[in-house]
Amino acid sequence: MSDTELQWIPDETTPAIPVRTRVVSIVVFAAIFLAIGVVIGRLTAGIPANTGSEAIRRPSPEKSSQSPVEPPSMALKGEEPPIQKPASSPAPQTKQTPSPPVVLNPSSAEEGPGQEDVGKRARAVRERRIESTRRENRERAPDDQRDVFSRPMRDYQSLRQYMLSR
Amino acid sequence: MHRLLYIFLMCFSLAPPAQGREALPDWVLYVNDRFGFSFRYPVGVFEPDRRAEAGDGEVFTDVGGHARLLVGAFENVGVHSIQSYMNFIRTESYSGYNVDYAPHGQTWFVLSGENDQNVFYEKVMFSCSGRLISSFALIYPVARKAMFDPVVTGIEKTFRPATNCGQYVRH
Repeated sequence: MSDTELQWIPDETTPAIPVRTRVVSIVVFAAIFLAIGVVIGRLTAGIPANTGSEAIRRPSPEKSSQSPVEPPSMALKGEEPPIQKPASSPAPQTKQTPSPPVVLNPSSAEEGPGQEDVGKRARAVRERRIESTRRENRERAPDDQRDVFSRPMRDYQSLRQYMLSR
Repeated sequence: MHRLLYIFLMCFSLAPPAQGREALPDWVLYVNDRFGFSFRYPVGVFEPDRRAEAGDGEVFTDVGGHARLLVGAFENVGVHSIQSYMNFIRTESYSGYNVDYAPHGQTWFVLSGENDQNVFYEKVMFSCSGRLISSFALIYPVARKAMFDPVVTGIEKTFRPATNCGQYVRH
C-alpha cells in the first residue's frame, strides 16, 4: 500500500455536524420559539386596548356623596328571579362605597385638604373628563356629518314613537 | 444563523395576535349636552339613527337594522311617581309584550319582557328630586338575545341619569 493510498483528503462538502443533529437542533429551537411566542401572545391578550373604559369601572367618589339620585341598580334580567323588589331593598351599586384616601405621609397630611376638598377635586376631574369627551364627540362627528347619519326629530316623545313604531 | 433567524420570526408570526382574539367592540361614552345623562355604547354595534332637535334624546340602530336603542330625558311635567310612570309606559309602550321582569327602587325601575318576535328592556331613572326622568330602552329580536344581552348589561352598568337640575335650557 503506497503512501498516497493512505492519505486522507477531507471532503469540504461534508458538513461538520451530521444532518440528523442539525435537524434535531432546528426542531428544538423552533419548538422553544413557538412556545415563547404563544406565551407572549397570551400575556399581551390581557392588556386592555382602550384605557378609557377604566374610568367607568371605578366607583366615582362624588357620585356616592353628591349625586341627587339613588345610584342605579346593577340588577339585570338574568341575575335574579322576576319578582318585584321592595323599595327599601338597596340596589347592589349602593354597596360600592368609595375607599377612604390613603395617606402616604401622615405628618404632612394633617394640614392637607379634608373630605370636602377631595370631593371637589373629584368633581372637577369628572367635569373635565366629561367636557373633554364632549369636545372629542364634536370633533369626531361634526354637525354636517351627524346630519347624514343622525336625522333630527322634534323631541324625545317623537323619538319614542319612532322607535316603538318600527 | 440566517436560518435560525427565519425560524424565530416565523414562530412569532404564528403566535395568535392578542387584539384579534379579543375583538371586543369599542365602547364610547355618550354625554347629553342638555340634561347631562350619560352612558357607554358599543360603537361597532350601534350607530346614531335619529336625534331630537330639542336635544333631549337620540335613537341608535344596530348595523343590521334589527335592534334599536332609545335614550333620553325629559321634565316630569305629569308629576309621575315610579309606580305611575311604570304603569303608564307598560300600557302605552309595551302592551304587546309579556312583561316578565319589573324590579324597582325608590328612584328607578326596569321593565323587560318579550313577545313572539322581540325582546325589550327599559330602565327609567328619576333624578333632581323627581323633576327629571331619564331612560334607555332597547328592542331587539328574540333570535339575537345572545348578541344583545351583553350590550344591555354594558349600557345598564354605565347609564347615569340627568344631572343638569334646573340648568338645562327649556325648549
